[in-house]
Amino acid sequence: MGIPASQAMTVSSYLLKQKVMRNQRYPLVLMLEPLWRCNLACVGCGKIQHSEEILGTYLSPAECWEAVEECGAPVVSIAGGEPLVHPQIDKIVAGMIERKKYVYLCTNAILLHRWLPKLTPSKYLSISVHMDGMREIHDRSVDREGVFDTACKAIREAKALGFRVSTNTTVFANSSPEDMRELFNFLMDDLKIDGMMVSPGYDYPKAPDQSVFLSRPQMIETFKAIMAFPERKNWRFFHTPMFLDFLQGKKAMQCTAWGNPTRTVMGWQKPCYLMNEGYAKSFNELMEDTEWERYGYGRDARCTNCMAHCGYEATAVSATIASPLEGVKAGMATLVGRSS
Amino acid sequence: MTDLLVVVPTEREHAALTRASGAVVCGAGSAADASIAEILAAHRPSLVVLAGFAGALDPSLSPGTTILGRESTTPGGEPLAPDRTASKLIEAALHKYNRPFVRSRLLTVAGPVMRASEKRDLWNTHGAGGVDMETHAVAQACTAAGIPWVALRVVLDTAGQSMPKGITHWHGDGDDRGVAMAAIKRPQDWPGFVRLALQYPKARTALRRSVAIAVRALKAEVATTN
Repeated sequence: MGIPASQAMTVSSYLLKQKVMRNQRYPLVLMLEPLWRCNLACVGCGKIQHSEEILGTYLSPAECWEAVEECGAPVVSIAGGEPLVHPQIDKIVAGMIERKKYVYLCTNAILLHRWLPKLTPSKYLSISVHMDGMREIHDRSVDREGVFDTACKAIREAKALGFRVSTNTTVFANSSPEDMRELFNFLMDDLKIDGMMVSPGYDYPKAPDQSVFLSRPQMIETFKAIMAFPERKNWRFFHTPMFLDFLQGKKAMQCTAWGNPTRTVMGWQKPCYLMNEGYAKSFNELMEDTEWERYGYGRDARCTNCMAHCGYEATAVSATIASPLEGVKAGMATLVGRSS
Repeated sequence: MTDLLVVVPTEREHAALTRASGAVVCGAGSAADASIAEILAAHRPSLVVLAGFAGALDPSLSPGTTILGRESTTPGGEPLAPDRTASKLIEAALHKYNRPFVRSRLLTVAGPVMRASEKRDLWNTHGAGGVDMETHAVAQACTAAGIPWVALRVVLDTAGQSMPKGITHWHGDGDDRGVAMAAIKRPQDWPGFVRLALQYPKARTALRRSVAIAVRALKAEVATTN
């Protein structure tokens, strides 16, 4: 299976509604971080460098649902921190499914085995497991041995229980196109996951290892090489064909920072999922008081090496809806489960 | 000594501005390289505002959007930064009057960028919101003379738009006839020229308004300081 047809329909009708209402800015995916506590310290992560007091603060289920309703986006990505460290994550997810939101529950899968009996398979729920490479690369990336094997075991178990399982891969400088090829073949052919998400790493200033990040031209060359492998036709990405073209330098795009608004334990993070310039008290304050024109490639030095899906997939989705040809390509990708 | 000098590359851009701007024409492309030092020596300004049209490289920019230069660069060249105080004043003024604008890099190249695919590659490589043929030469001359500068460019053609082939005949003022003759011989280029012609009034109006707002804000600041 690729992205469920019902999800594609829901997102398309939501976007058309925004166009008809002439809304210039609207959210597509709510990035929900109900906690920043994590059970790993990945070398390329700049999300968890907070005081113990902040790391000990969790959003309650009611606060999470309020954020979902306030934002109105049809898709919710629960990230963090490690969401499965949250003691009420099952309740949070259930409340979102009740609200008919398509939920991506992002996890490193260390605790997934423990939570699977408390979660219910649904067309609204995708478990999105972090996978940066095969055993050696992944364990080095998350800075702990054995995580790759634990994640693979949990993925097999989740699939056996009927869950939709996808993976999220961040491409860093120390993983070659050949490494990615091996990983994607393994994920599709061996683990038989439903789809993959892929994004170049963002050069977080707070990340413990700054040498792992690629520059923008390097990212483009790396993705060109990855997408040129013959097995590419068997790889199922949960992305629009346009976003994958963008990663290969075939499409020019500007970031849509407001497409993926981020609710954290501190409030609504300004201006985007990756950069932090403080917090708005409400979603409306975030949308109305942020000077969105200040951000993006060419406009802000911090955006120079960002090609992340949280900024550009919203641009790609919006452009896909606006172009009949791209719309047909994306529709085909949804039906046959492949992108471009 | 002149306090503020507005410099534009062509007569067409000069005609778009109000008389009050007191703009000086430096020539397009390589002509600007040759003339700008002389212009600076003759006027001895305390600040240069370079204004004109640009092609968009940032795919989110539409005709008539103003690009306030955050940096000037060339392929392979070192970027130059405009005057921070003047940039902030202009930014605040453009905000105040609700002018659609962005602060972005400006890339200077030797000739017109003809294909949308070339624009895409320049965007991916340089991250510049707009491309032109003069900004960096003016910025370099100003920097060498110790004169602060800012650049205001208004988008004429979009990032996804390829230029009609006849534009290759354009190198500056006086080449319009050559472009027109080339266009007559290539009917397949006519839709491209019509599109540019439809975009031009929007860009022209935006250039006039943005420069007027910038000049007014800068002069008001000078008056307050004095």
